[in-house]
Parts: sequence; C-alpha cells; structure tokens
Amino acid sequence: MKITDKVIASIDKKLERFDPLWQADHGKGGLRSRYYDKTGIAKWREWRGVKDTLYDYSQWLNNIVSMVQMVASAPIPCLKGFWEYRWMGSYLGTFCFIDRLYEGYRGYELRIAHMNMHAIVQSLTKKIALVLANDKRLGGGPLSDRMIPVDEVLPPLFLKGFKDLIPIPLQTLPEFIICDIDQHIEPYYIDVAESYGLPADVCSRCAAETGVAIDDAFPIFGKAFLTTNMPCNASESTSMFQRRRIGLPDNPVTLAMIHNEPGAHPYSTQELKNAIAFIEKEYGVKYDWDEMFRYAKEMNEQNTIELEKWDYFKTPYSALSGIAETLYRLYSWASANGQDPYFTRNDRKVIKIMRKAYEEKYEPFGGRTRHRAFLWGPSAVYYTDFPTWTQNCWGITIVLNMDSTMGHNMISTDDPEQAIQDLACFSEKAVMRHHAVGGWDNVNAVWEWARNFNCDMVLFNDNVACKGMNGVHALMEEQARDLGFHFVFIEHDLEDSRTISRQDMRKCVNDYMQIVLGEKPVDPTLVEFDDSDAY
Amino acid sequence: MKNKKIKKLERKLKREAFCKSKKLRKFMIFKWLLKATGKLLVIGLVFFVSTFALYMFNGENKLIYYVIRPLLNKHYDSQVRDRKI
Repeated sequence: MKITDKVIASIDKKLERFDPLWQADHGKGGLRSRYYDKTGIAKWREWRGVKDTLYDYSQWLNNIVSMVQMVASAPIPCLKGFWEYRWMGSYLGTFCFIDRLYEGYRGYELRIAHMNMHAIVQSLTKKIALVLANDKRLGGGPLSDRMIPVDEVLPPLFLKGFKDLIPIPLQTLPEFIICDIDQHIEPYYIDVAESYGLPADVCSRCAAETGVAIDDAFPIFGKAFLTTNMPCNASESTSMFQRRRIGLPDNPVTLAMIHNEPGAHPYSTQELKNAIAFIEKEYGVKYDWDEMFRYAKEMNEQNTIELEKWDYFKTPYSALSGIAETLYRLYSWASANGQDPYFTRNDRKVIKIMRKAYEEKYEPFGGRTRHRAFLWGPSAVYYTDFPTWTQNCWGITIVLNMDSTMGHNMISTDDPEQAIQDLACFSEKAVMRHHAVGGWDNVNAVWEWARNFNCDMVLFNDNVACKGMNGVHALMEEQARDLGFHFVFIEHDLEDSRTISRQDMRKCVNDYMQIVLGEKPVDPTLVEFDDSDAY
Repeated sequence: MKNKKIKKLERKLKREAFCKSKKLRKFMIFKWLLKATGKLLVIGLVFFVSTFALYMFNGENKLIYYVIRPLLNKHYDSQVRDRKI
C-alpha cells in the first residue's frame, strides 16, 4: 500500500461518520438526512470519501466549464434564450439533477456515471448554443436555413447524408430533456394546452408539447420540417398542433408500426427515401452516401460496444447500471444518434473500465444489491431519479431500462441500398414505437429481456393517461404470476407530477417490498419523504 | 539628490555586470521560476479552496433555487404571449 493510500484511508476512517451510506448502515441517518424539507436542495454535498468526493468535485467543475463554453460561444442568444423561454430557466436545475442521479455512487460506478453524464452535458450545451444562435424568434443566425427540424422520435442518423445540413430534434430542448430535469416545467405547458379545451386525460407529454407550441416556445429554424407518425392518438394530435403553429412545409415520415413483420421493412425503406427526396427538394442539396457512411460507422461502433456492455449487465459485476446506463443510452441513441464522435470515444473508455471491473469481480454499490430488475419506464423515471432511489432505498439494481433496447442492428457502410434498408429497421426500433405501441410482441418481450439479463424483478411503469397501455394491465399481471417474476406496476402521469407525485410512485415499490416481500429498507431515510417542491 | 542618483546608477551597473555571468543568469531565471510557481500555487490553492467550498456547501444550487429561479419565474409569469390559435 502506498503512503498516499494509507493517508487517504486514515482520513476516510476519521470522516466516515459524514458518509450517508455509513450513516444508513449504522442507523445514524442516511442519504435523505442532508436535505431541506420538500425542496430537494441539499444543505451540503455528499461526502463519499476523499477520492470519490474529489472526483465528483472535478466532474462538477468539468460540467461548469461546458456551460461557460456554451454561454461564451453565443452570449447574446443565450441571454435572450433565458429571457424568452421558460424552459431555459429550468436548465439551471442541471447541477441539482446530476447530484440526485448519482447519490450513493462510489468507485467505478461513479466514474462511469460521470463520464456518461459529461458526454450528455457537452453535447446538450453545444446544441443549446447552436439552436439559440440560429433561432429565428431571437433574430436568426448564419445557420438558420441549414438546420432541419426533425421530430424527436425520428432517429436523425439517416439525415447525415446531407453534408451541409444539421438535423436537430425539435422537441428535445424545450420538452424531451428538460422534463427530466425539472418536474414543474411541463405542468405549466400542460395548463396552456388544456386552457384551449384539450382534455386532461391525454398523455401529458403530448399535452406539454402542444402547450409549448401554443406558447410559442419552440425555437424556429430551418426551411422544412420532418415529422413522423407517432405511436398514439395524442401524439398524432400534438403533431397537428405543432404543424399548424410552426407553419413550415413538412413531410411526415410514417414508419411501419407493426414492424416485427418482414413485410413492413420495404414500406419503411420507401418512407426514408421519400424523406430524403423531400429535403433535397426543399433545401436544394444532394444526398451524399459517403458522408452518411462516416456516421454509420460511428453508430455501428457504439452499438457493438453496447452489445458487449449487455454481456456485463448479465453479471453482478457490471459497473454500469441504473440511471447512468439508461439516461445515457436514451440520449446517445435518440438525440446524438451517431452524429457526435465524442460518444464513440466515451464508449471506448467506459467499456475498458467495465472490463477491468469485471476482471476484479468488483460489486458496485458496496455489494448492497438484493434484487435485479428490468425497468419498463419512460421520462417519469428520470425526474424522479427512480433507479437511483430503488438502488439506495431497497437495493434494487435497474439492470436495463426499455430505453436501452432501441435499434441496435448494424448499418451497411458501403452499399447505399442495403444501408437504407438497415436504417429503416434501425428507425423502426425507436422511442415509443418499439416499446408501447409497436405491437403486442414488443410489449410482451419484457419477460424475455428480464430473463436474458438474469433479473428476478420487473418494474413496469403504468402511465395512467396512456390509452394503449391501459389495455394490457391485467394481462401483464397474469403473466408475471405465471412466470414467477416479482412484478410492480408503478403508476405515474408521465410529465405531470401533480396527478401522481414522486412519493406516490415510490409508495408503489415501498408497499410491494414491505407488504409482499417483507423486506427492510437499506436506507430508512429514503422510504418516505416529501420532495414536492424540488426541481 | 545627486548622491542618490549616482548610487542608483552604480547599483544598476553592478546588476548588469552580475547578470552577464552565466551562473548568475541561471540563478536569476531559477529565482523567477520559483516566484512564478509560488504565485501559481497560491492562485491554485485559492481557486481550489473557494470552488471546493462552493461545491461542498452546495452554494450554486442554493443561489439558483432561492434567488435566481424565483426572479426568473416572476419574469416568465409577467410575459404576455400571443396564444391565438
């Protein structure tokens, strides 16, 4: 043992009483003890021992640098953005969000979690600066007409064949990402939509997007808009509202819904070809397959690494799990989608750490894991930092979430005809389409996923406003019983935390763990607490 | 007054002669490097102590939650938006 290690170990020993994990183990407090009531604001940051605290501090600085770079690259548009858009104010909650997500993380899992989070932060900050600097509502910029607004559930990778154009998922910044950071932002936009008579029982994501459109809070850029057929009636409805409000020429890329049947792929392939032709016509540019292949290679490498990660997920020695895994995969797949080489570089580093942790038989979270769960959950699991809470409160590791199961087929990098077919399969397996409304087989696959990843538990989010999924409620309960999984339905109203609060969601798990399984919590301070005023 | 000027000039000449020798030049550079390193260390220490205190006491989040966001929300609530469909 080196001298420095000895010194650090002795300091850690002296200060261990400040470590919330130690406090929980010794009945002297826990992870919730350092918070002001209701607000979700901590009196001080978590003491994780010398090495991990300093690492967490260095990553906090790293994220600040990205934010400073964002403002420095476009100071006036950023200030205008903060002044104009309510959702921009919510991004100030990012530091709180990151702290919440990685509570109780130590060692390898903390390192990987921060690497993944910084990849998101650096990408998102660049995107915000780019969008605001070219937002026509704020005066526009040199790239305003070279950007293509794309619906967020349409993977933008196939558009990289347009060398001089920049595809940007339109809803990502004002709605899709920010709802994960601040639980109070979407209710405002939902109220805007409902004040026009939109019924309150529709999916709150769709209601919120409609509200953003009516409130004129979508940044405006580009010459034409690529929309898509969305997987439910509320999604169709919000597409209509956005289309009329934004007023750009649009092309709906209507990918096949029941996409597991081989006959569906030629249809989706033709849809992508139509979209490419539409952009060529509206923007006056030619599609370049060589340029497309460059990015397909990036995506293929990311997917290859992802498949290797899955092998580690099946073991108890995976240093990547929970929110660090699911949020990263959601962003890197749905938003970055092969366009940013930073994610490939990050994946290479992460897989190296995962290999090392596996060789060392390193058990994350101090070996406190009791159950391995497959999670079927959308945005409500992010603003509630749900996987982190299940881990810290009950020792339930979220091995994989549904968001991680999206398109992982390889894309041809030398044959355009094969590549467009591969891209069609890839795009069919996108957010929502692949999870909830892409046919019964996709929903029913949850058991196979859980079994393949050696899970004994399935946590299934129950969006009370999702008409499609309400129909399968009893079927899932019956199957869980037959197949012998611990199964918990977690009720939520997606982005409207007023209907079902965070604590109500946590109560679903608390009740199952206490009443059905008769278990005691790992950290009793996390069982019941009020965080209704938190971001 | 005159004496002072002469003394100053003498000192300057001595210093120049001193600096002409190789060893002395090295010594001067070393001295300057030490000074610069010391200054950098002090700046680094002040930076570390202040940012680490801000980090550990969750300063930026408290400022944002209790001061900046309420002010911004006040501004957002006073905005008049044209919501005609």
